[in-house]
Amino acid sequence: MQEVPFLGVGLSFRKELKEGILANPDRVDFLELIADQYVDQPPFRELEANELAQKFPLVIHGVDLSIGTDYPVDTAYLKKIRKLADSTQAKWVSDHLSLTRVPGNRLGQLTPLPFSKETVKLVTRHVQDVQEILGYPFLLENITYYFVVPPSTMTEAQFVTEIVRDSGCWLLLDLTNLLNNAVNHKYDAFEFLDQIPLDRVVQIHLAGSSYSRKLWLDTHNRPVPADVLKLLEYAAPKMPMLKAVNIERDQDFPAIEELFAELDRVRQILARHRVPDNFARAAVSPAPEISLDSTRCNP
Amino acid sequence: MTDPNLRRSLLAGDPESIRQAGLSPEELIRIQDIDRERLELFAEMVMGRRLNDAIEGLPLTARLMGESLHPLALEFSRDSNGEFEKRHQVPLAFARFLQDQLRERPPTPACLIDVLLYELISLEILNEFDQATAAKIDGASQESLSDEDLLTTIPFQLPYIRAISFNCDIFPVIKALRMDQPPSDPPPEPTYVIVLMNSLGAIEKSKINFPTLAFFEACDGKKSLSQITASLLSKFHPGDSANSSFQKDCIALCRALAERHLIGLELKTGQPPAEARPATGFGQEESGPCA
Repeated sequence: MQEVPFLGVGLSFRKELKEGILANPDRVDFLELIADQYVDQPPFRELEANELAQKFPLVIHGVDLSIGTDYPVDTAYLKKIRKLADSTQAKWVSDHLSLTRVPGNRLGQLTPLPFSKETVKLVTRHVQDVQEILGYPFLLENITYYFVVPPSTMTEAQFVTEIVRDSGCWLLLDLTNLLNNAVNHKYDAFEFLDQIPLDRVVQIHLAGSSYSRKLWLDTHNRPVPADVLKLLEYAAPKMPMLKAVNIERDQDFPAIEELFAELDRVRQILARHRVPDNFARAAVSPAPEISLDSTRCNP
Repeated sequence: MTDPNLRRSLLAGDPESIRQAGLSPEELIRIQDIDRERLELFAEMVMGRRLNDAIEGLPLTARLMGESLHPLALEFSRDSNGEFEKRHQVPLAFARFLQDQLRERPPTPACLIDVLLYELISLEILNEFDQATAAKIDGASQESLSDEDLLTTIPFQLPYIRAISFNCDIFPVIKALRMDQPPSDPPPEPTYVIVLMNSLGAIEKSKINFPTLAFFEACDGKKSLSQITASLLSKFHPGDSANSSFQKDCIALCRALAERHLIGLELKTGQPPAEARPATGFGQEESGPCA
């Protein structure tokens, strides 16, 4: 079995955060790099990734694998991801349980898949191909979806569970996406957590969403809301393989200290619940209280 | 489905729209089963993403155009219909679309045409980036040749370098835009510039004089240096076919450009072309990637 090492509490790397992160390397346990910002890019991007790899443990997060496209997986793309992972000594690679393109047409948006046995089979086959080409632990992330794609014959929890069981991949559980979906599609997020294989969760994503047109949107533009942290408190103790938790921020960047304070808050939660022991050891001294978004509620 | 008119008529079951979209009856039923409001939202998100990709790739043009860019970006997003396989193809296509628009409606400030051209060229160069080729070119070396041998070589342009003629001096305009300051519209003044991607993949630019531009343009990979020299001589000194100092100047220019890896030279003896990527620090100003 490929090793999935403990990483701790980290950040998704964005150029807007670079200066603050590099000036405070002791505040971030690891970084998540967006694969597509380094693949097919000029050499200075690769140099940047390698420089970051000298200072932080890295994981690679893709957005354009399009694992749900009914077409053979993009071998050339995967080989480039593998090259990036090799050069940065990445600990694992992840992408989304979605599709983003079909041959000749790029949507550029994480698009949901039908929750069906057919899709489970398709994704399982693709995950196996991906794992063979990558040679790294491979994680799939749940997305925020705004509509259920017909014909769906299973619940989302059944869909995720069957894919993980059949393909052997790990899970990157985005708790913000889970809460978005739970509210948008009117189901219980805690029940969802009880239904999926939490023992396959290696990494957790946390972010803030925004509310528009009666829906919670996956915007990564606000602090992690208290309701998402409650899900973390509930789920993390049930995740024996949990190795990494990171915050994603893509817009409306705050002062870096605010993000560090959020990371410390996550560390405190994990330490308080003694999950796993590594996180308790990684916890830092109590951080000052930050103002988390308290507006989050069922609309 | 990103075209709102097509989407509406499809969902209403219009046979012509169904035929145009190439949907089977089963596929149409599936789409009609999706919550309309949410489908609308998703289509807008796809459009919004495409819009962002287009605009983010042209940061200087976007700053110069301000709000007036958005209706054009929207028109582009609507028309392009998602035919791009890679994200970086979007801003390049948008730049070409804008160029067509500006040809029809000359803009204010006039320097916008040049700023857009600069970003378009930068995107083209970055778009052609290929690591395998780059490594091959990086590994090549420039041999020293006698003047006589040099005249028989065939100079050619390299894929990461363009020599461009601008209508105005874009250097202060670009500098101001990078500092997020409103640039003053410079007076018309032909400005010749080499734009290139250095070995780190960053875009650099450097002013050149008109004869150098003419020399660059003549390096078509077909004519020998001797033939290029003759054609330039007739252009710059018509009726003075025996101007030996001009030939010396051309040889010196060719040698200098080749030594700095700004052109490649194909040897007549059948040897492989000698070419190399410029190192960093060529330009007067180094910029990051265009995006």
